[in-house]
Amino acid sequence: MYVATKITVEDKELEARVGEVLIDVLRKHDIDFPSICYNDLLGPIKTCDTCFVEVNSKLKRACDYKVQGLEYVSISTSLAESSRQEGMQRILENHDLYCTICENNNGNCIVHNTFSAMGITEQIYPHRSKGYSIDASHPFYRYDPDQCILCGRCVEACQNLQVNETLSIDWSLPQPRVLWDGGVDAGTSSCVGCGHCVTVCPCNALMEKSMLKEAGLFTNMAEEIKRPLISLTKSLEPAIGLTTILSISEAESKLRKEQITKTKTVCTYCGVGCSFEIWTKNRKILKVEPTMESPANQISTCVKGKFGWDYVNSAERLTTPLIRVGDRFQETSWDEALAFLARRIGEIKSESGPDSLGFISSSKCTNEESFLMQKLARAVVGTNNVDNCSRYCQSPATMGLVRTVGVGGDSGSITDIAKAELVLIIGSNTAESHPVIATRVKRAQKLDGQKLVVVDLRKHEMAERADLFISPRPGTDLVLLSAVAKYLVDSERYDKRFVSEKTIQVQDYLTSLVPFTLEYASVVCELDKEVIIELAEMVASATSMAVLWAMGVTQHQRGSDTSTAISNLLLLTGNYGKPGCGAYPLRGHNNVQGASDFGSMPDNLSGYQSVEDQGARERFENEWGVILPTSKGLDNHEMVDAIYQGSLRGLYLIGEDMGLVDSNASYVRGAFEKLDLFVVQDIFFSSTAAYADVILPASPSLEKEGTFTNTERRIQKINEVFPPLEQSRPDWRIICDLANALSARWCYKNPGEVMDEAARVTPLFAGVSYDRLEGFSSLQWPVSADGSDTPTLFLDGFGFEDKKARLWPLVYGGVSEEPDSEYDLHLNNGRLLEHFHEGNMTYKTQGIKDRTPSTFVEVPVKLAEERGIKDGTLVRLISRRGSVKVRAIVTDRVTNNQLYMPMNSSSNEDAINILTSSSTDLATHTPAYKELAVKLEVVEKEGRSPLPRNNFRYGRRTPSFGVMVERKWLRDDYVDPPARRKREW
Amino acid sequence: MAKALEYEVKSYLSEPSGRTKAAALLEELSKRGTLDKVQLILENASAPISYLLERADTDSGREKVGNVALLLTAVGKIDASKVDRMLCLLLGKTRVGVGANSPSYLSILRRLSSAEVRRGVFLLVELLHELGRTEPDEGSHV
Repeated sequence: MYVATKITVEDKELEARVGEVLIDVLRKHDIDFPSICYNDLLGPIKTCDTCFVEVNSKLKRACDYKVQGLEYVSISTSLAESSRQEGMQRILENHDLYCTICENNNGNCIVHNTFSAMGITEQIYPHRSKGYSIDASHPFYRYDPDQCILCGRCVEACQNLQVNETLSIDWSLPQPRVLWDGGVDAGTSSCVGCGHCVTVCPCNALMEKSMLKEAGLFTNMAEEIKRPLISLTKSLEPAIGLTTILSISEAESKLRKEQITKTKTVCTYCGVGCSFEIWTKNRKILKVEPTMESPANQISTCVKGKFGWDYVNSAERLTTPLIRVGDRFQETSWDEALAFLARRIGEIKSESGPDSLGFISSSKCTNEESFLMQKLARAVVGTNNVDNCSRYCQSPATMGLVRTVGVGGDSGSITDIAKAELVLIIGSNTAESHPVIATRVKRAQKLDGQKLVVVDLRKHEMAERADLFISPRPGTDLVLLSAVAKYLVDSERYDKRFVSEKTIQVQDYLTSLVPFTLEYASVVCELDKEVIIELAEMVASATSMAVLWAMGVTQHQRGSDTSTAISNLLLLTGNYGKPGCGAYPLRGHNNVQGASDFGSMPDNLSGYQSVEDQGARERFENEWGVILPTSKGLDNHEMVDAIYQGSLRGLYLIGEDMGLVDSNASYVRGAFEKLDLFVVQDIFFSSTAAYADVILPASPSLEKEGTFTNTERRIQKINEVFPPLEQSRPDWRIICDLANALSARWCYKNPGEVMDEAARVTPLFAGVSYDRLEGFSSLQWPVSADGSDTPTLFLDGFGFEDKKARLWPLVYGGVSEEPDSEYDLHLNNGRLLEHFHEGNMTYKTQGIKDRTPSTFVEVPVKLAEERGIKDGTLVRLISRRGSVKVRAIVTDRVTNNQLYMPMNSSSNEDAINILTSSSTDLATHTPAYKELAVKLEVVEKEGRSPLPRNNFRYGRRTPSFGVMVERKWLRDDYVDPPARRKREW
Repeated sequence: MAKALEYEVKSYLSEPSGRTKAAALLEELSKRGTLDKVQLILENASAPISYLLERADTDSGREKVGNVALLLTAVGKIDASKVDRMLCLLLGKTRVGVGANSPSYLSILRRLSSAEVRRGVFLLVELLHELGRTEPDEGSHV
């Protein structure tokens, strides 16, 4: 709770809040005030010395002064002004001003703008080289020490926002500079390439390589000309003054506006939903620039979102429709391809009925495309056989939430995760799969004392950082969670009031907990009782808890039940319907949430309106002028079985390499071979497309307009950055074209009209419109007709008619497959930070591919010793379905008989799903990818490590509490402004 | 039974042959009138080129040739259409400024009271002086 007060600034009274940072107050009241190192998110760093003011006649840094109330603040006293000028002069000594030929001269250079605003006409300390060479060893950015002003923003961002803890400044060096891992090349350090440092750099010291020689009218100048030109300009500077030179650079900067286009979009990788501007010059991507307005991520990104966009202009893009003719694919026109499809779909429908056709949408596609895909299936073809690829990952999480709280989405926002007193991460490698959310947890833990518990098979980064790391036997999380719940009930340390007032089915639930004693859990989970008690005590003593989970929970035979157990625990502890708590199933793809929200599901129309609900159906029927099918259709998994049974003859698949990412890939590909019509729509020729009869070239997100919904139910708009490449078309356009080829007479002019229609028939999105999603605006559903949205769910009751949550009784029933005497090892699998899924997009970025060129298998140290395995040993992994050959990495991240294999492969040689089974979650049919037993054979003892030495995993982090400016102040050569520097560094 | 087929994506980036590219380039240059200008330059370039080549046997001469080469390289990399737009912008503004409001002697004198303006004028005079200076003939040195 803030206390309002007033302060006087230059005789003007301003409203402020007690504890508010003075510089924020000044900016809030539009007082143009210089500063360089201060950043809203990073807070005061205190290195630049450019924001001095007098507060009650004492010199203070405005970034470091918190309002107490009734102060008198003077900005323009000679003491304050000369102090700021001295600070800026010291910065210019570290930064060579050649703005006109600098790639960062884009109107947003903080050093340039601050210097310009301060009206400095003369440079007192000439620029001086620090004596270090440029570090261009990182694939995505370069560091120029001679341009670095040592503000430490990059260090602060790396240490305390991204919390990768790679960057530091050693103030004890004769000439300080930014260091990677204490002093190695950036390219061989622990840097994960998240780009925070480059984004926050206030000048051109850290610069995206994609900007170099590209941004600006004169930046492509040869070095041998650039240097003499800079010297010439410097020599003219005393005569013509800095102001004139600055005017020229500002003119050049303005001229760049014609050259550089900035388009807001949303990341197309994971479900965090990072938004940013993409800077482009023609079809070249200059950089990705997140902003403080980005609602989910502010200035944060990961390596994929910041640098992984080369796939968009890849030479491997499909650009022409292809049709199978005999034993080859032949290029064809859109008209011919669509006419062929319309004819074949019509034939199959008339021969075998509408339910002989299936439609699978993609969670890479937009909400509008998901909406159109289900409309095509239901209204044009007449079947509910429509699904999307969230079936492969998140359906069990949705099921767990729908059962207990009635709404299948994150219950709060990412900001709530940061605010929670305790964060419990189960079955999620958050730092690699949802990197930006991980930064919020790491930051809260490091700076705010948040407690972190990680339950996982593997000791990944979050596990290393956890206050408590628990590694139960695979597939037993439900038992662990239920045992914790029982402990809380038995010790009467649950939220009785919440349970009695806001939940039902309490007695049934309590009865169901009876078997989950500590002893039972200890045996089943192979954990010490004390560990379970420690977890339960942490849960009991936390005033707020957020639980994050992902595929380690959902991709099991009982993924829905374990998700339910998580929600039960949150209900039991009263952790719904208030800030800083709740359930967070971390959605995998960028639009996993939206693909289901907008109706590409066999049982639900958009907004989770059941196909069996007559009222809901009528709403759609009235809008669409058709009669809709009334019973649930087939999901992805059932479609594959139906193909084998001969009841499904045609399949239209969008944006998914199903023959590689679905489990038991050989079985799935076998199904493709049996189809009478297989249509694949994608941006690349995939292993799935190889089976198609027709391949339609689609456009990626940068080539279309639409919306994505992120993991926190946030709907955000994407805008067209480039026109569709060659003959490729946006998916929404292709679906419309196909519908019209089937005589549907759809006439959407743009995706905005699709959203308007979805809003009309979907109460959950009643108030969603493109007008309300302009710029960085976003809406978290449910959205009322007046446009008000819902960042936190359940503030006035749960998603059932009686507003009460359901405590859901559970039983534990084991796993579908576990190691035995023959298949003696458990093979876990998942993502890597730098690749997305099979890597069809991320392998197109050379900087990623060079450092992580292939998949591998992690082997525990002890097992490696027993089997004679070293880094680089080629092993064969054999399951009951097939075998792959892959090189080994020996690591302590896995233990006992556990192996781990990342999924980034599109080769039959080493793709994980050659091994996985067709077992699924019993409730949702999500494949039980994580229940996999294999045996291991050594093929070649010696070999090259699959992880090159420049991979960040070999780096050595250097944790610190940021820049530690106090050490700078202790240097002999530092003196408080306005005094001139004592002597040179 | 639809078996998996291989397909090699024809890159939209695939390079046309050297001859095709050269023909396209010449056609474009011709369309824009650039070829005519190049011809004009070549017709009139003999004098400065001979001047530079004659001096290429001395250090200072070679430096001059090198500087010209560097300058041409730099100029060659500048986007001509952008420079054209910038010039239009600057010249356009100048014309408007002069036409709309001719400064009085007094206002010019007032501006001369600024050290920055005085430095600028001094620099301009020095530059003009330098440009107008007659280089003594190398042969006249004693």
